[in-house]
Amino acid sequence: MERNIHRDEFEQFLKDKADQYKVYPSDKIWSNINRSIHPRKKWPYAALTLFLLLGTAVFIDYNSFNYVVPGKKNLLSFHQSSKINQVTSPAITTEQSKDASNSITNHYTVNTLTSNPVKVNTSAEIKQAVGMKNISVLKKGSDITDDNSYSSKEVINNNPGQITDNSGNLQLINKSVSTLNNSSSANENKDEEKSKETGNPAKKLWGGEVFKASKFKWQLSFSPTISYRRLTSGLGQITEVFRGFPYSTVQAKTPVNDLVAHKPAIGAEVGASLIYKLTDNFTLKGGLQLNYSRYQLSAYSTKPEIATLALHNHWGGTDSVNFVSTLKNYEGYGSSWLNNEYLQISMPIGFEWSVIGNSTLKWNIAASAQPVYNFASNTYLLSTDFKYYVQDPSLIRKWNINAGIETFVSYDMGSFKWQAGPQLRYQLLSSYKNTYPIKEYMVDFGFKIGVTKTLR
Amino acid sequence: MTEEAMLKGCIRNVAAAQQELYYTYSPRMLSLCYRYGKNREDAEDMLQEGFIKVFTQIKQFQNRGALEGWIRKIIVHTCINHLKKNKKFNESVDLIHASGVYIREEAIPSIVQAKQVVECIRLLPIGYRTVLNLYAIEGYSHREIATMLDIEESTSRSQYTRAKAMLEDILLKKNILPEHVRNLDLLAVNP
Repeated sequence: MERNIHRDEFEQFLKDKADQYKVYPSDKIWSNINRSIHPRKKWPYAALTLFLLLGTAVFIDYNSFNYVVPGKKNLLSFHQSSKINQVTSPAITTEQSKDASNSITNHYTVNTLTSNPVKVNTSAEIKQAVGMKNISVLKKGSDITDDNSYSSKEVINNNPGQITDNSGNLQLINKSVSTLNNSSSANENKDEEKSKETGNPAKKLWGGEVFKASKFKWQLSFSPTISYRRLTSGLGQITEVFRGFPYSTVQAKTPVNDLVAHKPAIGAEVGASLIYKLTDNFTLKGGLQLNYSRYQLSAYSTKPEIATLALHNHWGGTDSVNFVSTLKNYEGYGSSWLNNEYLQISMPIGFEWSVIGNSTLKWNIAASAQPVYNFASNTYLLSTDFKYYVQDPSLIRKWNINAGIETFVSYDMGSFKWQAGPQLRYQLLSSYKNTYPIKEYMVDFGFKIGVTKTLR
Repeated sequence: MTEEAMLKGCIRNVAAAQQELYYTYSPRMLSLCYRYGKNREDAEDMLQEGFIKVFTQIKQFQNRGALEGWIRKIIVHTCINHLKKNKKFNESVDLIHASGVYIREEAIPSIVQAKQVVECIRLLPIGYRTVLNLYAIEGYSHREIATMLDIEESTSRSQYTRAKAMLEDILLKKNILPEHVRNLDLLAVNP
């Protein structure tokens, strides 16, 4: 490099000045860098989701298929298979005189609904599997087959030739099967007729069991939400002393909403409720809910400056409190989006009304009032001259009340009911205490997904 | 935390050490990016990209020089790549068009002299500014600059001469240039 003394001095001057000048980056830059070099592990979330889905599937499966009521039904899970055991009794009784020397087969296999054969090897196991009454008869007759394997109701019904006695008399067994099939169907029809006559909301589940539904249900719900806020100003009562340039000329006419830059952000709510069924179409609901609401506001970094909040006092006058702020509303070194966040627990109490639909698919509307306790928040408040943002948790209202409306489609799967639909939650009182002249009302839009289980 | 401890922590990917290093050097590095970038947002993008490279490549730092110099080098290259990627450099490197640049006097805030100088540099067309930054402030030779910017060495020289003249003109108009630099420099650049 060729540089004479004059140029060196100029370049040194530039270098010195450039090195003296420092620009402080906004906090979000470090957050982005940190997130980039330390990415969050996604597998725990994937594993948790998988676990929840699996858990739900197992829970539904267990509750839907395994309705075993000792003394009322045998172990076989679906009603047709129960006929097999009922068949054995008369068939054996009929045939017992022919050959009493044969014993029960050593391997007795029956199909369950899941197609997994259950092998019963001993007479004790057979007792458990088929029931004491049938076993006692079996012991007397004891000539089901000369073949050591005996399997499946399908085999009985479709391939009767595999069920033989020693004399090869198949007709009698088959006849017994058809007779009992008919009588069993007739009994079921009688049950259904009986429940219709009594007017009980009896329901036949997948397992064939008939039960009377409880009026109480519990519900779990989750909803991703988008939160926004509406600002209004009670600044008319605040003395002009606290109003400053540049907004002093416009603030009287300009809505406070237009003096700030804010945008919605994603939150969530999760809740559990107890539901009481008043009529088929109308239910009352109460529960607990956790709400996380947030929105973002634009702020600029600035050197530390005094920010004043003018406050109403209890005697109708005006007080003020000063803060040192490094966040400006409208101009500064660099802008960033700040999160205003609220974590709340609420107790929604309301109703659901099924407007239209059949017993399986319904369209519903619901409304609720929700007393809210705001137990954590991270909130930036606007100074009275709208120039600065400051934080003062003591000005945040702890108790509030929300109103919620929603509409959803529900799908009844027996003892479970799934529902999904949009909802709106509106905060009835300002997020801030009455002493702070600016009022903020949170609005949350969400899409709620819920599952309702009937209590038994 | 000492620089050595900070460096060791960064090599072991310890977030606290990385944060410390970032807060130590980011104000100077953002100032550097600001001289190259179109605006502050542009500069912050360069800074972010640059520091990610710093943290991912810090194992390659051989302790042969100052850590700040090594970081600075990475950030400068990131800025150049950013300009190339966004075609900002190539679009503005035309000397004929650049010579007629309009200087907005009101764009120079009268705060401190350092900031004034930087803001004056930022008034230059981006091609001039890049060469001036690399040569006068970062200390690269014209050959290195030519390689970095994919231009001829002679182009780098001529751009620097014009950039320097233009900057001096701005600084003189703003009465920012110190007396001792001003007199000698006027003789050297404007014969």
